[in-house]
Amino acid sequence: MKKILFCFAFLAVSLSLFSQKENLEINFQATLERQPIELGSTYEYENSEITFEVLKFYIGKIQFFKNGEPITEVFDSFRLIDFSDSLHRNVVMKIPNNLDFDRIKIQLGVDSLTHETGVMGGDLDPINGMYWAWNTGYINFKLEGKSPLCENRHGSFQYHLGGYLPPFQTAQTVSLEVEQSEVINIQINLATFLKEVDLKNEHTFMSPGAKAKELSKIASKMFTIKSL
Amino acid sequence: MKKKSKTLLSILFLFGLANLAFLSLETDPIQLNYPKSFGEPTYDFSKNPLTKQGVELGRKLFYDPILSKDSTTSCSSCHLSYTAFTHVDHALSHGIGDSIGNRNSPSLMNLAWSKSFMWDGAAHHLDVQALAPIHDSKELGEDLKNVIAKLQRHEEYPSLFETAFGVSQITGEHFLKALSQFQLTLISANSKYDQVQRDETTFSEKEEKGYVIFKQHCNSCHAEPLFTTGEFANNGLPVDTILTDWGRMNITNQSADSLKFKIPTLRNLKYSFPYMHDGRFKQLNQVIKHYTSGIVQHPTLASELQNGINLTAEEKVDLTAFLLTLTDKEFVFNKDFAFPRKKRN
Repeated sequence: MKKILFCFAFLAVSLSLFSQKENLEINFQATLERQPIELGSTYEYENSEITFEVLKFYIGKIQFFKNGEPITEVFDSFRLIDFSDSLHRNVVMKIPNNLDFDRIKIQLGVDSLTHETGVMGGDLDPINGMYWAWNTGYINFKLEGKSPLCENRHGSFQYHLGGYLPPFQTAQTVSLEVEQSEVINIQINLATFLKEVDLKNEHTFMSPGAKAKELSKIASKMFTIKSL
Repeated sequence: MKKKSKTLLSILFLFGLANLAFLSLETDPIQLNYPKSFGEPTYDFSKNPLTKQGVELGRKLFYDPILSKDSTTSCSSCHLSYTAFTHVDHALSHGIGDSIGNRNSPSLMNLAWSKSFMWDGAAHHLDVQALAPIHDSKELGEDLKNVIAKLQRHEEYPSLFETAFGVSQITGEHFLKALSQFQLTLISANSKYDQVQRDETTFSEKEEKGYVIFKQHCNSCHAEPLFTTGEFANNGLPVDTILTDWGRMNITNQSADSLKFKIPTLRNLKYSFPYMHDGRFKQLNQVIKHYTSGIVQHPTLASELQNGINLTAEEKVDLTAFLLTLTDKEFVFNKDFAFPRKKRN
């Protein structure tokens, strides 16, 4: 048995040696301006306070560019980034060895074509709560929380952004200038989104349509490269 | 050299083990029989190949009230096999706690050819359709995550899922795919109309005349042989001022879709009364009367109905005679579709 295990390990090592791939890790960190945030904690915001309870979104295809030219793209499957779980705040992918790139484009949300496929498993399983039952389709982006700024019963906000039917497709592409590295840290500044929405009156969005499309574009602006 | 061959043997051994794991999933593929005239199904069977085990699991789930919050209501509560999988005699379907919904439950048949589901096309794919009634507080009032947890705790389901899909860990994907598998087998293609198409019998004189009227006035929306185009249309019904249901517009947010509803199949209409999305007509003659003298003008009204349909009293009788040839008793009384009773030893 030991021998078999040894052989298996040998095989795994030799396979990895011969393969022309290396790891690239993309980490996401949520912030309120420059303040890193954790779900469930309360932060000062606009002379009031704010607590974030849910931050989840899908990322898909990742394209690599050099001097404006596409080099390659990586896509295995859609990945759900979920801030309630520290294990789901990053993606690790295989990219070709010594890939020379200065920009990446990340697909944010599930595209129309994938919707046509029917039900899927893994991160795309509707059990993950990122699927609308009453008007079927993926929720690309979820941000929920509480703030006294919201004028409703519980002082809560819920932004569920999605929709894939034309003309209200909501999947976005986030384009980021990056330095060549094994780890790319992406900052999601939630204040960028909150400043553009009227937290007082527009605190609840949970359906596809023109507004979802508009908010999705705003949401994509939150993503920037984290300055260390 | 000896070491190398050992390594090779080990690799082969490991591959063998991996293959064994796959071979242990012994399922019996099912081939659906349907008329060529139905055309290619919309449903992509390559993504969810039908198996005897998958269909049986889907059937058990379809009839199991475990899918509802209080374990009282199942899919079959509103979709009864003996009435072409709809809720006969209920204008609006009711779910848990006697709550009344907003729509008349549609009949279920030939779903592999459907392009969308629900009266407003809210579900774009059969696999995800079941999420709507499961989550609706007026229907099953449950949550997918909870349903899966209940199934996982159940004494039978984990092994049934393992038999059908190779894993006993139940996922939303496999649960929904099993439900699709059963529903995809619900093919109705043996009505008198079908038998006439196959030259096995002939229409009566009245039915034949009715068929001519049908082709002239009804076929553009209720197109043969599925008796629907699968599209959405405003058929000129006055708006119910209490339900204020705008149909397809609720989904698309486009005013051009206002008051448009899914064109239902006319197959098995003998069993699927009451009619229309809100079940406002109890009898077929009320439906025909609507088309001949009840059309309400509206910007989105179907162009074919701008002037209503003119039919004499005799023509109405003939049309009704034809429409009743769409009755498929074999479908309605098919034991494979009914409540899965355990076989006695």
